[in-house]
Amino acid sequence: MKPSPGCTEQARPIVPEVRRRLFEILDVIEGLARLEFGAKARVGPRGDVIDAMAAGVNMLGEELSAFADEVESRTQALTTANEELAHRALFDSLTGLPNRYLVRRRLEEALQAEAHGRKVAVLSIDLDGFKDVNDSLGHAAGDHVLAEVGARLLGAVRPGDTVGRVGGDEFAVVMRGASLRSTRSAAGRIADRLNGPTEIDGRPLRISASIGIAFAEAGDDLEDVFRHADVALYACKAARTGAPQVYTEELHEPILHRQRLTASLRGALDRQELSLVYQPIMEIGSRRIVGVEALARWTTPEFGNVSPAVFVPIAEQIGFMPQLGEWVLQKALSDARDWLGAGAPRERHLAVNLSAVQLEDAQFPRHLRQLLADAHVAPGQLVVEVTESQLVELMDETVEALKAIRESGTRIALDDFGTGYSSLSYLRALPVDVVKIDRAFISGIGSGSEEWAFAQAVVRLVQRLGLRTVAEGVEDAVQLAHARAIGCDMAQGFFVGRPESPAIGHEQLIGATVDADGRVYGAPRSRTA
Amino acid sequence: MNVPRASSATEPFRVWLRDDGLVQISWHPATPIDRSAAEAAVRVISEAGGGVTRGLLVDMRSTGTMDRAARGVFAGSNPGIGSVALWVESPLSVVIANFFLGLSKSANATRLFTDEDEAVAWLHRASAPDRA
Repeated sequence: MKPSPGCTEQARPIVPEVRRRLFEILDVIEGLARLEFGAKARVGPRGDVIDAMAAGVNMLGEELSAFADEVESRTQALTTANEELAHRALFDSLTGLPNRYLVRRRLEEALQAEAHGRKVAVLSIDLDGFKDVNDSLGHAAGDHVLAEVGARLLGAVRPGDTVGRVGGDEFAVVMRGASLRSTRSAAGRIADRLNGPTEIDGRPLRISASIGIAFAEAGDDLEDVFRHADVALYACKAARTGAPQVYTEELHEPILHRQRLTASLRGALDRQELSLVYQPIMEIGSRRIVGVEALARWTTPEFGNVSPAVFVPIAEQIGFMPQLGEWVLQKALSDARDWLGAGAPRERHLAVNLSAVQLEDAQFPRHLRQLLADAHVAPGQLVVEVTESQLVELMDETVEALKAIRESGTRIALDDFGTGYSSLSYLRALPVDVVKIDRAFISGIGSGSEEWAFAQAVVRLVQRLGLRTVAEGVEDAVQLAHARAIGCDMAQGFFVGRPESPAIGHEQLIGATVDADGRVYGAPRSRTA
Repeated sequence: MNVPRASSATEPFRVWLRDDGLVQISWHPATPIDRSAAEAAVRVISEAGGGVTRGLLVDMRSTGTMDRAARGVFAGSNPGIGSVALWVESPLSVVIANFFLGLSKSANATRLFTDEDEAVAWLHRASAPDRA
């Protein structure tokens, strides 16, 4: 490589022109050090060493400038992303409201800020029937409702109050400087706002909510405050009046009672506290008892007789239904074996309720056949009852199991018809032999009324499908007459016979009849009406 | 005989297809090279290659300044340009060439030479597949 034009092998004094150009380059370098990228060193036409230095400094400045722009741009993007993350960590994306974490923090701040005994109110708000909105109208509609509720809540509170979404359809409000009166007033205002009608895709929809209120003051445990508000919320839901409920110590008792029941139920089978009773089912035309339904009872030394309406939902909640359902089935078939051995007519039937979890087990139909065989009970003597809601909600899972059960000769009864979907179209699609019409359907009709005509039409349509009908909850002669008049084939209820011990269930199966006054003939009977 | 084949008198460079199949570009002395000049050069180089990807000899001995946008154009993937030999001599062209090599992450194999023969020999070796 030849010597560069600006270089010589021997040092020479720097001429003023060279000195000026070097200082010009130095100025640009100083500018770069200050991250000032605008200035450029002049590059002359000679292309000598000093021009090369100037060009190099200029290009370095350009690269630094581009690098600085890139850093600035990425920093901005990171800042935006961090802000977005921070927002997501604290706010609900659907409603834009503070989430559970932020609501808790706001309560903490409110309690720290309040002085002189002023209180903070926490309102726990839960939408009524929101699951039905999601199930029937879809999750998009559910989201619309949640967003609408969030907006309405914001419109109902004071500036400075915190409204948050703390769960699926659960909201919370934190109000500072709260008195009982002002909080009740605010809760009423919120309830009024929420209860207003809304529309989804042009369809009117009514929203309602339950509200629980708890008060807190400095030093209170935050978790206790939220739990108290929830306790009040459950009390509000249980009361079904829609009136906001304020937390008191007494509200805890039902919850504690339920917790004790829950703990006790798990050991009920081992302690032999469960039993079966049998309620007769009468053929209306002949007045003969044609079958009995097995009903579970729970009697404990601690709680006495616990209603199935209480312990069955608990069993469902704690996952105890498989064990409970299996026990009921085995015990009922064991009793039936005893009855048949003692001469009970083989044309009478035994009805047993099945739970959805039993039907979800693909092996259940085969298991049932084995249990029947072990008990020497013919499949045709058994009727399994499933509720309409179980069938419809778990249609795919349960229908195949029911078909398999039915193919083996066991009949299927649809329980509580008229309380849920009440769709006759389901009856065409489902493997059903008997429809048990809910007591509300029977007791609510007056002779000659529109309800009467409707009930009669439903019964006739069911029968047109080749299905038999049982009127449930027949409690007096008038209701039996109504059931007969609208065409029901069978009746069940206190007027026909109360649930009784296995011994009496057997006697009823042997061949009892019921007269017009509800008196049973042809078999001994010990009713406890 | 090396004959310029694809450049015009108004452009700040000369581009021609050499007899050995390489394309050569020579910038007019001290011409500042900006984006438009760079884009024009790339276009003419591609035309000079006649649709064939060829090795490129860049005579930078009298090159003037080259801004960042121009460096970006040369560093991109340009049709018809294979390996690139930068033929430098002046301190200015050395600095520019090193910037080009170091910062622009050229899409093509690029090397710096102070001797034309070495540059051409390398281009022939590196561009052999290009001319196949």
